[in-house]
Amino acid sequence: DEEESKKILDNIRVGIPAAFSIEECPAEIQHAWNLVINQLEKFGATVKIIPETTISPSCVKMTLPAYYVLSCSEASSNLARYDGIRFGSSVDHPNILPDDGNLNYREKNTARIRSKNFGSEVQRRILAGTAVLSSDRFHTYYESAAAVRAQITKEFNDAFRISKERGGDDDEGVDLMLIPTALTNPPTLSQNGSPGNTEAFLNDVMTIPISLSGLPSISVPVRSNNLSSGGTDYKHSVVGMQIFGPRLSEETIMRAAHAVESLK
Amino acid sequence: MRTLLCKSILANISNNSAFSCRSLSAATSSTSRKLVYNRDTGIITDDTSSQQLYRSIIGIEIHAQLAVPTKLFSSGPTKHHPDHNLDANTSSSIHDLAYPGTLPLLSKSSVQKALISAAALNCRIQELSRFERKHYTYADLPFGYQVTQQRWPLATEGLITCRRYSPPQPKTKGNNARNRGGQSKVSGNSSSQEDLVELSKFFDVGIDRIQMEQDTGKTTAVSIGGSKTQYLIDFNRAGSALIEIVFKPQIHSAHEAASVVSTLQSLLKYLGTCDGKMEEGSLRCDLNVSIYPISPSDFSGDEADPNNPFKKYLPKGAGNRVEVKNLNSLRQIIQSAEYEALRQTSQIINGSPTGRETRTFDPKSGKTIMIREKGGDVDYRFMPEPDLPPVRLNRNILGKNSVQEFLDDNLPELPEEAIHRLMHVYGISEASALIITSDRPAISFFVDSVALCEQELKGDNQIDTVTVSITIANWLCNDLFALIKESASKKEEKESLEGALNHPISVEYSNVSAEQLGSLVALILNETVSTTQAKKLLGVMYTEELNSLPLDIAEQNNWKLISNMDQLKSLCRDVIQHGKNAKQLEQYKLGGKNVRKMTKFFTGKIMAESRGNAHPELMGKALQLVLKEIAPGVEE
Repeated sequence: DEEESKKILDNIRVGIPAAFSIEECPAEIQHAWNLVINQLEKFGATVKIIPETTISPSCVKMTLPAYYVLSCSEASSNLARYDGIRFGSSVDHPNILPDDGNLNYREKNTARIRSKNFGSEVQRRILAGTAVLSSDRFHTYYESAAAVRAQITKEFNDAFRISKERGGDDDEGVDLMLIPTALTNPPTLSQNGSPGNTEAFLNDVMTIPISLSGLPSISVPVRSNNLSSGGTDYKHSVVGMQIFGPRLSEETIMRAAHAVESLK
Repeated sequence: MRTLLCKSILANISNNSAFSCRSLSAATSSTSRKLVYNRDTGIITDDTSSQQLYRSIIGIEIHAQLAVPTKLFSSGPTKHHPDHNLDANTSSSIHDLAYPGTLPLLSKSSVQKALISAAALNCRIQELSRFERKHYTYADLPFGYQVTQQRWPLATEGLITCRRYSPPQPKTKGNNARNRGGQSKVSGNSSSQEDLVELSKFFDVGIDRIQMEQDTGKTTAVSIGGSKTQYLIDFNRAGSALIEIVFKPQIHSAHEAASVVSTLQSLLKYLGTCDGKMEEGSLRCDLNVSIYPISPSDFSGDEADPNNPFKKYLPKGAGNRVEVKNLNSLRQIIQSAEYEALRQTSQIINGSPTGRETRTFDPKSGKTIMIREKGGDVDYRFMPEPDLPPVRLNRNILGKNSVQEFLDDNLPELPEEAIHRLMHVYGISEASALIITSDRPAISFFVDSVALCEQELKGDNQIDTVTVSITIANWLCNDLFALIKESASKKEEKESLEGALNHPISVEYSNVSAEQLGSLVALILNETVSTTQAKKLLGVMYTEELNSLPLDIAEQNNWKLISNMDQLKSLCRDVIQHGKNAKQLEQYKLGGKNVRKMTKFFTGKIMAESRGNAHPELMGKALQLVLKEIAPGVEE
């Protein structure tokens, strides 16, 4: 049994990016992180730290505002098609808008339908995206966000190993990376499923950079028995651990996830 | 007789002939000045004082629908697809209707046709270009944005060499390119005088960019009583691949604008990248018109239109440009350019110069109408298209390893090169060369026809290549195209959809092959048949649709020239000695001026007797001999 399982992650290098080891990380999650590292080593992997000079904390932090700029821009664009002309329920609220002399009949109609049929969060994002795409803001916001995205993508790719077949040298670089999926408790029902702003920020920083870089990723639940240590707020015995890799590395990711799943 | 093909190259205008100007009275309370616009030079003159005041300067943008069967980003059918249905909203795919859950997939053939067009226009080709979204709301824009190439277009910095447009001349009787009247040798050489004047009338216009983009749906406004208007939207053409060609504002007059559009239209049709049908919306034109003072002292000093991207091309003192959108014919282009030039001049004279405006042209009144003031202030919120990779002109899209390799295989000899070759290698007239090159398959048809004709005439040293070429060109341009046109209009009555990518008047639809034509002309040139007989032969070959040789048909119908002297002499004798003509014979014998008169009489009778088959020249000789026989010693 153990002989066979050792082969699954032979020659696989797993990186722990120092940029994601932030101070706010609760002890329980740190503990789960260590558990997984040990497990992967048991299955044949070698684990190393990826220094902050390779994947920088400042870039990682910048990915959050970059993401919101880019995703709101895309949302405002992708939702532009809902003009009420080809599809959408008709609306009979003639006074929903103050009478704007600058809008013609069709424009008023479209405005009414969109105001009624889009939820408030959607409208918020559309407005933010539209503002950011306007010609006097595009360069400052959108282009900067795109540059941040390019930068984080580059930093991840530079840390990944390029195989000999593709002209790289095998000495540097990792095949996979391992970080927690979230750093806080899941939001409760009484919070309406929405975490507070700081919490949202802490959690987003674990997933958004990977999303922006277009990398495949999986979150595997890990049971942490060490609940009693430290008087932290973390109340749950399950921690999500995230394994991700370069493009087209799903097969390797699945093998590592299998190793983690077999943790008792 | 000029074919309608010729008309389609040169003009769509019917009315204006002698007058190239149009006047507009600038009616104000202070001054009432009658202004006149010269459509060739673009100069606006005060009619009373003859003082030259202003000159128009024009920039053109053309949107051409690419002749491909599917849309730019989906497999939905365009009007060039055999399955296309003309009824509104029956041929639009879910992607082009912007239904959620679809993604764009770039059409390779669209890129290829755009590339061929750009290369033929001498552009610098960008091997890497990108798509962007241009956002605005309109009922016929399903996505709420148009996918286009604003910052990174496919091609930049090109050049078009235009033939100067001239309105069609009224037809006169002497305009036939070919002699008629039963002459055996066909003349009609290119008039060198005419060529010289034509050739010097070329001018170049710079092209700023060529970009690929999507077409919108089509909006039709219908008034439904009172002041209410209903807008009907047809999404069939939404998502069709377009190229937008932006010209630099380097032209000055209405006729120059027409030249550019006409030359471009012919070129794209020739390349097969666009069918050029302006009346169907395949080719649409926007004009940017402004005026500048001829005399520098009239320059007020305030710079109008400082945000104009073409500022450096504009002369000093140029006013704000007015955009006139969606012009659908050469006639509309000329009329709107002229109307705008005069309107802007009269407004400046009245002290209220025009601002940046967007207008449309009303063909009924011949005037432009405002649709938007401050035409350029729309913020389109350009955003790179996130669902498409950059356009790389590589093996994946072109099927060849490089752009050059692709063009070597796909860019044909260009029309002007072909015209030059036809004129200088074959010696035909410019007018014929223009007609032939406007239908690309006609070029090889012509060449094959000449080759076969020469082959059949081998051994006849008197007939040179130029004569052969000119004769073939005349029969192709005048007679064969006329038959094709006639047959095409009959067909159109039966079929509702034309749908062909080629011009409907094309040798591709000819029932007579190049070989048959060559063979026929050989018979004419070696005097086996007369011109009249040849016309009949051509008609038979065309309607029969069999591959019969003209010689066979001639023999079957006895349409050959009688050239045998003995035969001719006996024919002459029969007529001269016929009882009916005894009186004329006696008169002939009297001599003097009766000789010529009666010879003429006999000629006519003999010709009639032979049913037009007698070889005119030889018959004349035979007649002389026979008359000497019968009435020797008669003198004039």
